[in-house]
Amino acid sequence: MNQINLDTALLRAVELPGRYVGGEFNQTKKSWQDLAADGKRLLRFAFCFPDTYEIGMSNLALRILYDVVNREEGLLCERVFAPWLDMKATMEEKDIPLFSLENHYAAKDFDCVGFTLSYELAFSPTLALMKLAGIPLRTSERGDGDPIIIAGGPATYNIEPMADFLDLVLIGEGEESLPELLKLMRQMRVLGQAPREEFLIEASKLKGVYVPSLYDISYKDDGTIEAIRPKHGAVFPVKKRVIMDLDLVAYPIKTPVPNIRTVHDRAFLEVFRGCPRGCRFCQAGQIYRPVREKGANVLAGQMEAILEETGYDEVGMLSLSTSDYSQLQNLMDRVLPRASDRKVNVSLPSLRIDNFSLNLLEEISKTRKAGLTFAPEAGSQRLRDVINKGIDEDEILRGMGLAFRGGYRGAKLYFMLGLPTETDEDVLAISALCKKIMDVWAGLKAEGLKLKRPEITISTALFIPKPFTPFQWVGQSTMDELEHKVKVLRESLPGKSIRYNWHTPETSRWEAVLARGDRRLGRVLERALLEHDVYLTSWEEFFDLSIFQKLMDEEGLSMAFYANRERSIDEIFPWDILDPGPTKAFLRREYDKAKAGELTDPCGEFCSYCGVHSWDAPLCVRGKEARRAR
Amino acid sequence: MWVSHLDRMRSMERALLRADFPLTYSKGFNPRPQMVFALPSSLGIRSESEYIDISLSEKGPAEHLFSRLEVQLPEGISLMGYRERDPENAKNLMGQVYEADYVFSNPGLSEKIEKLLVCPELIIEKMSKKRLKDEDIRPLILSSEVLDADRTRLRVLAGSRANLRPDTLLQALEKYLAYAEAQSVDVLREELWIKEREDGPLIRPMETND
Repeated sequence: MNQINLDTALLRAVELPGRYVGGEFNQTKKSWQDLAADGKRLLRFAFCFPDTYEIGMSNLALRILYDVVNREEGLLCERVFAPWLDMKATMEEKDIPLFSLENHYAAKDFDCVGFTLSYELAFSPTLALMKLAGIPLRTSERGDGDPIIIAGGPATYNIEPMADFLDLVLIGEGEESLPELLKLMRQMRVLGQAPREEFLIEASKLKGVYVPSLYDISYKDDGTIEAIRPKHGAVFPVKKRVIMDLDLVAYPIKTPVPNIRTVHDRAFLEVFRGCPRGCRFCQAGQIYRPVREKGANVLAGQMEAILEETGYDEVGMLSLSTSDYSQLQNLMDRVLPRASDRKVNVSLPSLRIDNFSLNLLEEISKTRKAGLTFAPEAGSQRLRDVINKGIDEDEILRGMGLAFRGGYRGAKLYFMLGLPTETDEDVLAISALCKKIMDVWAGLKAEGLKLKRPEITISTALFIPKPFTPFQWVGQSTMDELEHKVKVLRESLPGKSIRYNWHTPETSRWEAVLARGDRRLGRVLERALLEHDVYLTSWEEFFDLSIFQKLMDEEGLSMAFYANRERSIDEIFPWDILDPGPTKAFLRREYDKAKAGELTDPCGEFCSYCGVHSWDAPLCVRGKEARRAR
Repeated sequence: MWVSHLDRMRSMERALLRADFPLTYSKGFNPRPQMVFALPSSLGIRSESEYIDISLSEKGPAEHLFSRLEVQLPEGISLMGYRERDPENAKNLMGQVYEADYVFSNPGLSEKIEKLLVCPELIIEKMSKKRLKDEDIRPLILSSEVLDADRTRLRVLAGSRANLRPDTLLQALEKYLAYAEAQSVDVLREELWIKEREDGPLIRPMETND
């Protein structure tokens, strides 16, 4: 086992060498020679983020799990990131295998390599990193000298396209399950010599562990799934892991402070998990149920400690919808005075336009007026009701009026194109809404308010139907339709005060194929790597849909089958192996309500009996009481 | 060694915040701690002569600050010493830098550098205001001292008036001597030399009278 030597000439030749050397303040560097109290070596876990250092170091899951694993006496965790193209080319030329930051060991020398998969476009980079590490891609090709390959993260809620490559997948929140799994691995593979298969079967008995090779899938003639058959007594379906009381679980305080600029170069506080809203397009809003808030006193204490240990001058309050945090004012009252003493900025990235408070924004932006970002998601009321966004036009216009009065020039507004039932009329409603916002500005100006020239930026993402959402049955719009919608919107937008950012549909289409894909796509991913060297599909500039199109054709598969097909009610989905909580019946009810344009109340106001309600999280209890009272 | 000047400044700011230094801040919308590096050093070189002027809001026992900061630094950075300066009289260190000593080392390098210095001019393409410009770096090199066959110390002009970036010397080794190992050369910035007055003597930054 050799440490990789990165020589001076090599590092001088690559862009941002700071990506590869580690050495950050607060990094945990355990020696590979250390022994645990039982006299045996530590289990070596490589946490691999399949994108660049700057993106990976901005990831909260990495900070949490790095901390959680390294707290354990018998375990060590080192970080591995995807090298940028220049470094990757050099590594291939000089036969340098993928390596870890802390001790610069080859990834393949670890006992276990874990990938965090934030979304489906991370699949190809994951395979490419395994190849760069010299690890056989397929589970069936790996032997006892190879690491166990595991994965976790939101994209594992349908991990079937990667099923042939991953030994084991952690479904749900990893704070408890990852150390449990690694301790079992140490017991069986470091203290004992259990063969891979024996370990995987044993591991599959842990809650939240999915071992893809323990399930056989058969297909019907029409290409849909006939049956899912578990083997060796594997559980079916696999339930996700969830931490019910976030105040009691460890949170990373001494996190590595990057030496180079990263995307989100700040401290994070996780305010709550889950989301009470239930927007029907949103996968996170379903798979992270139920809502679990952290206490304001706990958060305030953690903020103080993190700032002390890291020296960050900015802290982000993270959640899926931070203005829905029930103790937000209380939290701000506690943290803002201290933040202002320390010249620390507090950012609230996920605010709803219907319930943000301008006073709050003023308090937090005394020194720096960061931009406002809101997500109406759709332009027409009809379509906002279809997706259960739960805000109306008056609320949007009132929110924008407040922003203008508060000295903001405008806001960034996020919309989605290609939502179910969307027509050109709905698309045109986006520009109509923009015009009304400009009218609000003009009205305030006419009242004599001193306003700066307005600046509105709108961004459109393309709708991707995701598993475990009410829209999991829906076909995605075709590329032609999506391009048409972008064109309609672009041509209808008024004047120069509105900027428009949009994406090309290619990446969204491939993401849609993978999101609801099955195991047959594994061959396409594998060939894309081996024959076309496909790497960072998560970067639009390197993405080439035609490669995947050609391989799909050659494998006798159809993108339209996966992306554009409306599924029947009784279809067995590839992701039916898993159970994140919300039932299929609830999701179907939501889909029917969407088609009827009916709204569903937020969790705490009226429980919808989604399937997670029986876990009795505080907000669920409140929602159930409200339902009984009604 | 592998981070840019801007990134090093940010690292240092964070270390000072962790050490709870009583910093003073710049005015404006985005207040930054008032802290000046005597001479930015380029990426990929080692240095034993980074001097930072840090302005503090209160007077206190400097040795406490020093020991607090020592334990807050990222891997590869250590404190060599400190000096208290009188904020009334202290001049901006950055404007006082005139010269620097660099030690270049690699097996058999000294002979190469000797040969290079014989050239009457060393024209290197340099990015300046987003345009490539030819620059003669020969006049920026004041003297050389061969330490042994592998190591040579160069005294060069440094600071805001005229400055030799050590990586341009490596480029010159490539360009004029076709030296293939130029990018493997280890570069150490050994010392900076400052003047308190334009006609004053060269002294080390720790020897100032303010």
